[in-house]
Amino acid sequence: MSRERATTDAGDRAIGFWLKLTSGEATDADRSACAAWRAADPTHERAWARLQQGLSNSVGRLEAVMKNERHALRRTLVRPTRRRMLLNAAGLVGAAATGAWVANRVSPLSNLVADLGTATGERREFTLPDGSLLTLDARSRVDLEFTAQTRSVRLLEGALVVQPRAGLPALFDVHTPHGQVRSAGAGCMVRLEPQASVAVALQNSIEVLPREAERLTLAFGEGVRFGNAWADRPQPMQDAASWREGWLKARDQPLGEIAAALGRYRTGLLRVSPRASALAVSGLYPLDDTDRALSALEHTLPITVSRYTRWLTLIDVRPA
Amino acid sequence: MLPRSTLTSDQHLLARIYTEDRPWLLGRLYTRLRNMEDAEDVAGDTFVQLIQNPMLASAREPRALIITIAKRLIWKLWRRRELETAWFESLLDKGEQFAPSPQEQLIILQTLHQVDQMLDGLSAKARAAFLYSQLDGLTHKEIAVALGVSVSMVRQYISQALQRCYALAEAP
Repeated sequence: MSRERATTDAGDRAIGFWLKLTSGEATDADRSACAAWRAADPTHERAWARLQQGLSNSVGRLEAVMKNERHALRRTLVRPTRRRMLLNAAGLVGAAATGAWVANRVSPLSNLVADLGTATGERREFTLPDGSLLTLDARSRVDLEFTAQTRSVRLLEGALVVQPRAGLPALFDVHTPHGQVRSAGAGCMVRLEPQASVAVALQNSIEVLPREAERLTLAFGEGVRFGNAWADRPQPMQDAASWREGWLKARDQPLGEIAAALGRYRTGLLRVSPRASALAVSGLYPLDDTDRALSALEHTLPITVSRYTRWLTLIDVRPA
Repeated sequence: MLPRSTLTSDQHLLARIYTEDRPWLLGRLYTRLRNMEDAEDVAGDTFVQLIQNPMLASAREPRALIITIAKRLIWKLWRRRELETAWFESLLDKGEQFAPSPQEQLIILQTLHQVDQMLDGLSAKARAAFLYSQLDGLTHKEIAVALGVSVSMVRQYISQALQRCYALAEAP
């Protein structure tokens, strides 16, 4: 152990001396101090040789082609194309730039391109590269962004529950088109709606950062609906994550929202008339048996549910 | 050492991944790469790295791991080609008086890639500072002016790169 430590120290000293000697301001005193240090101990000389070898095997070999040049090769080496751009645009940015090795045809960016996704009626739990647990609701899509410094997912459609692995230095971020939801380790639910995002804190507090509005903190059990530049007042919303257990828990929720949730678990179309969609619904409905859920709704609400083949179901207000 | 039972369940997991997740991964890679050979290469390397990943045994669904590894490999592949393209363009620009042999070219390409990896994660300014100093021989003051930062910042930049250079070099 002491030996390793000595080598690392020696490496740091070698780097320090070399930095000074190549700074353009080295004095004779610096040069002789370096020579004396190298002569003082074989480990010093080995560290010095190692640094010199590293340099001559890397930049040393590029001298012939790159020294004092400012052309495209140098620029490419200095400024790598942004990773995020490359990967998030599904490689299409890269495709446009390199041209030859990928067809320059732009294909529609849909489910095929998202990193992880679920089909209709499918719930799935994934282990993320940092050890966090991610559950996707039916018909949901996410992109992953995991590097040494960041751990985040981008919600493209549907809903997720994430249980971030705690104790890591990087915070866990869930991005939506409207902003981001940030957690140090507390579980949270995030759902993407057509015009807004919904975030719910399932354990300790989480932070919600709309793109262009003040950030806010949610306490355990609280949820908030937010857009680009606004956020509603936080309120109790724990039930919003009950889909994870296969249930839809409603408390005075508009039927339109309930139907949208059931629709993610049904292959056919589920249409609700505007009048019916405003009706308030309370109750517990099974997601994995949407026919049973629809019958239950039909029994408790003044509605008719008409099934035309398995591909189309219409809900309307029952005629008086 | 892992207990025996874990090893067998690992093997089951790998077999399952191969049959279920490989076609899925290939499909996704193909939509990004638009080239079946590249997709096959990246898929192969992905599984090699996946097997060595300590998270695999406990992973609920390995797809998130798979896609993250594959993305890094795509990035590397793409970056390699970006450097290659820039290198061939610079050869064309230099004209006929500069004609390195195929072996020399190979060494230069490998070195470019190696230096790129060595500087991976450093900012563009840090990369530029290192090359100005160690390749062009500019003084720290000159580099500070060129990059619009302080001399102590320049020192930090170069020091970061030198530490990586030292770490990657073989101990003599």
